[in-house]
Amino acid sequence: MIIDDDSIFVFVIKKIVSKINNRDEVINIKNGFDALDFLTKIAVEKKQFPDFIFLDLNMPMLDGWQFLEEIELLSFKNELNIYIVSSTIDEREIEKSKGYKTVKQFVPKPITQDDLATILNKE
Amino acid sequence: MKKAENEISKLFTVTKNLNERLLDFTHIISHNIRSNTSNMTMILDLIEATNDQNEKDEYFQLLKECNFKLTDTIYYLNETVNIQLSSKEHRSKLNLKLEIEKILLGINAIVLNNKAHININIPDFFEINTIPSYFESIILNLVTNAIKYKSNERELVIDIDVENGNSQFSIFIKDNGLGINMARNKDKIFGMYKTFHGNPDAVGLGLFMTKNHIEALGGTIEVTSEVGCGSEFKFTLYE
Repeated sequence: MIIDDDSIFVFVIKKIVSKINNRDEVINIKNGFDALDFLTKIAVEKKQFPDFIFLDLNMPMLDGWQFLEEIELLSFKNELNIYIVSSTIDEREIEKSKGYKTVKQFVPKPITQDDLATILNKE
Repeated sequence: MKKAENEISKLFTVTKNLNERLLDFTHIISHNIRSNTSNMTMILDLIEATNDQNEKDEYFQLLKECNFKLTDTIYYLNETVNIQLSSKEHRSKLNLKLEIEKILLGINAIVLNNKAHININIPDFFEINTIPSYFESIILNLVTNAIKYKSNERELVIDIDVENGNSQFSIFIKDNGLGINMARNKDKIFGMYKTFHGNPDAVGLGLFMTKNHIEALGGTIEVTSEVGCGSEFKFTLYE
């Protein structure tokens, strides 16, 4: 699952995922607010969470940080596999991402096919 | 002594503003420029990895789109620099009330179509010394924003007021529209490409440019707002 409002990035990731592994389905949600809604619904309906969540930082409505603040309050936070995927070069933002227990890793954009394969093979 | 203190406090404010602008700039480079160049890198990787001409054509279209976005961002960044550079010249004396009436006449159709009631509560003989085109852009942006984000539950009322201080004046533009969630958006409201209401037409440049115009005039802008009640923008310009 990709939480990102950048449709070009999402398209490219979908392409790369399909090249690595044709079976995987990629869901895209364009802001933190709708993503929170989506995940809460999964929790209520006791369905399966996405294997991976790629979270962008700069988004409308709820941005990546605000999404994480909200996630920290939820009971299912430890069942999520969240990676921050961002183009930021701001050291303060990269440091800040390490402060969240729910974040597995900070992944800088651009992502190469090898980087992505390494992450997807972790499961 | 008092004068020196004033001078120091003024310098402090200038430095603080410059620092904030530098941080804003890092943010823009990180998110608005690098997001495009990083997409371009990824698309170029994909092009290199395939021999399929159809696939290559598809990527080419994406590259064009990235290039367009990047060009746009750089254009607006350059605009903000130009605004700061040309801020030293072309000031002239304007009658505040007449000037605002003239600006609003230019968007009369939008005002009427949206049944907006605009009250200009400004004394007849209030004069300001400013750069007319910047001032017009500020007023236009704040008023059209109030119209764009009006509430469907009530008729839109916009109040424009002025407060005269010691060698400065503040203009208030208050609406009873949708309002903005300040707890969530306080730090982002004047940022580049930031949008708040999930409106697909919003680009996120209006308030960013408004802030730049005001800062170029040596002023400041602040906002108070409550969701469901409305917003009040207050900007202060120094003589």
